[in-house]
Amino acid sequence: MRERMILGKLQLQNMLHTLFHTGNGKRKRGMSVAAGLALLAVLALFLSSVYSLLFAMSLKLSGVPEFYFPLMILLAMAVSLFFSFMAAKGIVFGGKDLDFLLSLPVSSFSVMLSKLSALYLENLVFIGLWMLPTAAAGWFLGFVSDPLFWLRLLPTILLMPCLPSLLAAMAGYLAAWVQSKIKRRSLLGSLLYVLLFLAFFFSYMQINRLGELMLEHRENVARLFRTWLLPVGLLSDGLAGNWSSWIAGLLLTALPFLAFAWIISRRYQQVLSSLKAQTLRTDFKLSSLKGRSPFAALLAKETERLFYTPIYLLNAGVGVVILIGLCIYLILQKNKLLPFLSLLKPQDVSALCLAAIVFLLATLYPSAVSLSLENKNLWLLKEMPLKPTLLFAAKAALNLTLAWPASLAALILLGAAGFFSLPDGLLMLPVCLSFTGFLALAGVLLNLRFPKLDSDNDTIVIKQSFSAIFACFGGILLSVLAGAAWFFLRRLLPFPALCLFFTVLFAILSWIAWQLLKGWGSREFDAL
Amino acid sequence: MLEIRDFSKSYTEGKPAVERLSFSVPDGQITGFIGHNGAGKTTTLRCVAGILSFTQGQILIGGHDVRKEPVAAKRITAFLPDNPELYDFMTGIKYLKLVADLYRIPDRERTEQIERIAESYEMTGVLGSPISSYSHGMKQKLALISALMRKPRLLLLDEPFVGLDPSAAFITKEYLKEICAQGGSVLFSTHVLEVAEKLCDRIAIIRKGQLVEEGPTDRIVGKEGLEAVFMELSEEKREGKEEQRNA
Repeated sequence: MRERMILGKLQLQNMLHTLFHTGNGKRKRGMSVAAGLALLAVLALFLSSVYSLLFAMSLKLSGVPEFYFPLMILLAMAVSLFFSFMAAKGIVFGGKDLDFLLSLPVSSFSVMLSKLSALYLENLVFIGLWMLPTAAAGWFLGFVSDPLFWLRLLPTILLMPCLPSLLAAMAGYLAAWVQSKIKRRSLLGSLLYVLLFLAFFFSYMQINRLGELMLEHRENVARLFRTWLLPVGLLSDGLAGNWSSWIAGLLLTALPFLAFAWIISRRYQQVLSSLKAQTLRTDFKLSSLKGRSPFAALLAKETERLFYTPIYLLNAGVGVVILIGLCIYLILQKNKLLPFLSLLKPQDVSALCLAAIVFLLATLYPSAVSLSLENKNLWLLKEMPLKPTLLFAAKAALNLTLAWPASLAALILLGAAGFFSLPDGLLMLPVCLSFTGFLALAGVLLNLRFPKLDSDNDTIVIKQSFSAIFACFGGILLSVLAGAAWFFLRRLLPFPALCLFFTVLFAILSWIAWQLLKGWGSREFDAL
Repeated sequence: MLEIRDFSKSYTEGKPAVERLSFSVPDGQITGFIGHNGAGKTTTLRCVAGILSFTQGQILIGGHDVRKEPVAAKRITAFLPDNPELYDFMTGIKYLKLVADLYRIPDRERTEQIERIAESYEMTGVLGSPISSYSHGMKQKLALISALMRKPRLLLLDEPFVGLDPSAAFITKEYLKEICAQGGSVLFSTHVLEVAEKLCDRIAIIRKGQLVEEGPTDRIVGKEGLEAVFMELSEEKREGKEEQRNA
């Protein structure tokens, strides 16, 4: 038991170290990281509260309030499963500390449990931020009135992450096994994740119809929460006041998690060995050594890493997938949207489309983590006869290889579907290019300011480093602020002038960012 | 080829890792860099290679100051760390291509060099495999191929023979001699004193960040052998400590 506590504490310390240390030993930056994360937590709680309240109200209006807690518990678990699914492979079946942990005189079960606890902690943060506002909204709208509800809530939140962590670990193992057997595993793995994400995305787009769907299939849904989704049903009954259901729900959530840990731990070394076994390839050609410019070579390296690492692509580049998915969804739903669109002026529709495109592109952040991902390879770049600015340009260009084609594709798709005219589309394109150009450079600046060069695996850098979190949410915030500015300026300036204004604004910001990179950035890079 | 003048490097305030180090590596010579663990060898090599920054002193490679003309200095230098961390997501050949591109090595020359050097290290059969599947020795060899194909004028190696099989170690020594025969220079750190004694034209011994002995191998080794010299210097260190304690 003691060794499990030690290993569990190690994982918690690792997680906190990841969140609060930038990996270059400066405590001052750690403080600003903590403040930044606190701000993001508050923002997440706010967004979650708004969403929970709106959802609760929609279910109440639809006449199915009894499904509020089951659905919110289910969604919390499903979304945290989705985000931890990609991390599971690296955290549970990877990590540079694996050799060290397995060589210790501790049981494999303890090692396995400590690895799963890393997944658990990640899911706990998400579920906590989701469920607290859920509970508050449910209480506010009168779905529950028993004061003991709050007493039951905390253990529920503490044990809920077990189920998504279990499923993520299982899926992570399957993904790792498939990847180890397939030749072009990196590209195939990324494609698989993209398809999975699109499936999740299209399911999620049905959420607005959830209220009417629940009412239509009330009995079937209730049956679902008694059968396939039994743990969810029991937990929500337990929160409503049924103590035996509550205890049963907690056990049904926690026990499979422990059972999985125990079963896999019995064969942990064999599992790891089978995942490591890779087929050696000899099918290369020396003739493919044709030269490229240093910039092209660096960009090719960055792109290869991005597409080789599914978790990198699907976290830092998820905005592209959502954008294209959204465009296709809007095209398919156009007839339903027409009554709403006809109420707006044509250029307001154009502005809305632009806002949606820019909002999603703002979530791209490869340049904000690419320097941290160099990790122990940093010596390679520092040894090379390269100016730091060439390196920065390649890292920023990585963002643009995703953002610019996605901008063009989105504008073409929506323009061809008739959402806006060709002249409007041509005016919107430079806005997208300029905005994403600035974000790309800002990402590099952010990563130089908050590098994370000491992580055990890429997953931690991509999902938990401060520069990753700040870049993603900061980009969203910037796009919202730009949207607000557009809203106020539209009374003063016509559409073409607004497009020009924002294009120039972000071009100037990009120039400033580049100047900072040339001076301060180069010095920071030398000091790394 | 390499001039180190009054070079100092500290990681924490008031505690220098290397202090006022000065020595040179002449053209066409192999210099062995020897010292205890934590003496400052790796720090020195990394600063020369331009990987670590430093604020005091001057390092010149082929006349180029590594701080003022870093790109020019790096262009004629190749560095091999003791534990080369390479890009796991790349295959060996892609990694070599990346390095060749960054050094702007012409197509024909890179193909010839890679073919020749990879063949000598018996690595041709695995260049198509991902680096993540390589053993430590294979990574070491790949890093050596990438360093040697650039035909560097200054080759810096940190413990190059660790992890290499005997035939690879022999071939590496031949390549080092080849570089020197063409007018280049080699500076490498090692704990294997016999290799240093046999291979090096010059020896530099560092202790606690300071140079304690430097010069032609014959003069330093003398009649006693390098190991005896090294142990004597260590003994002086221990005696020095005891004197301090007694005082």
